[in-house]
Amino acid sequence: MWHRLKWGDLVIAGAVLLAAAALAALLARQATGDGLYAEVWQAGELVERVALTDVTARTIDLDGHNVIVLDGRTATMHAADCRDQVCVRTGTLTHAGQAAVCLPNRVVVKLVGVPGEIDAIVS
Amino acid sequence: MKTRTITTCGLLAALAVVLSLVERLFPLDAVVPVPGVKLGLANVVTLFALTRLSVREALAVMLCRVTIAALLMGSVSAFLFSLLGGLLSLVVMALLLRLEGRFCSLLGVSVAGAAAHNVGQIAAAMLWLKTTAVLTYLPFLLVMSVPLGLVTGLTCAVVLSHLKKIDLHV
Repeated sequence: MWHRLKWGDLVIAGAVLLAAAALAALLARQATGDGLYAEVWQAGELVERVALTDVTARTIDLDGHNVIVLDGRTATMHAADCRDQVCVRTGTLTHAGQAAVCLPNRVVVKLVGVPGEIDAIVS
Repeated sequence: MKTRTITTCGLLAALAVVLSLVERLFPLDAVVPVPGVKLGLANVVTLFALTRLSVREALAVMLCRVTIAALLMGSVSAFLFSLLGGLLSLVVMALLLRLEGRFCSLLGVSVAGAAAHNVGQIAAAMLWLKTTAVLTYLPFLLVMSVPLGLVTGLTCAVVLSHLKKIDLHV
């Protein structure tokens, strides 16, 4: 079987990995900022936006469908009543740019880093 | 369409539905720490249909599989994701299959199909959730699509060579 591998196979696999790396780098670059905020989106609308600090301790309950725990500078989709549980398995979010997505309930929890206040504008 | 072709399509569609059901029994993302990752066994059927039948028939098989699988166990959203993923994967594999033998082998076609499936699903999720946040899942899924695409591609290659050995024409 392996002797029939063509060079194009390597090109394809390489292209896929390269695309993954490029996208990851792009997302990481976009995410940098001074502050750290947790955003909870439901059906395309922003429900909550909480600034995360070391002393943050909050639980957001979306009518029992999704329970989001904000603890310090992290956010976790603690529970969801959906079947696939992909969002819960995503685990704890610690860096800006990360997200936990619950497709069935259309809920997104994401961490965003917002660039700090503008110090000065040079014209 | 000949009766024989219709029968084959029906058989393949049924096989694909069963494979999707079996796949759900063993959630791969419980083992691999990538949320939402799947083996993509049903992709073997699409690849097989593309090589042994035609694009039109492969499309019919894929549409049947997605619809029946959604009716059996999914939701409207799951249907949408599978549909977009399946369509994109089918188009990419059909195009690459024209170069199969010269530029790449069946394994490369399968890897590209797996990657395209993920891209399609994430695109559907972005439309459904109206956010680009889902994109954060894509790099991991793309990396996983290389080994998983190899597995499904090998499966299809093995099936094809066995059919050749027993001289069974589909």
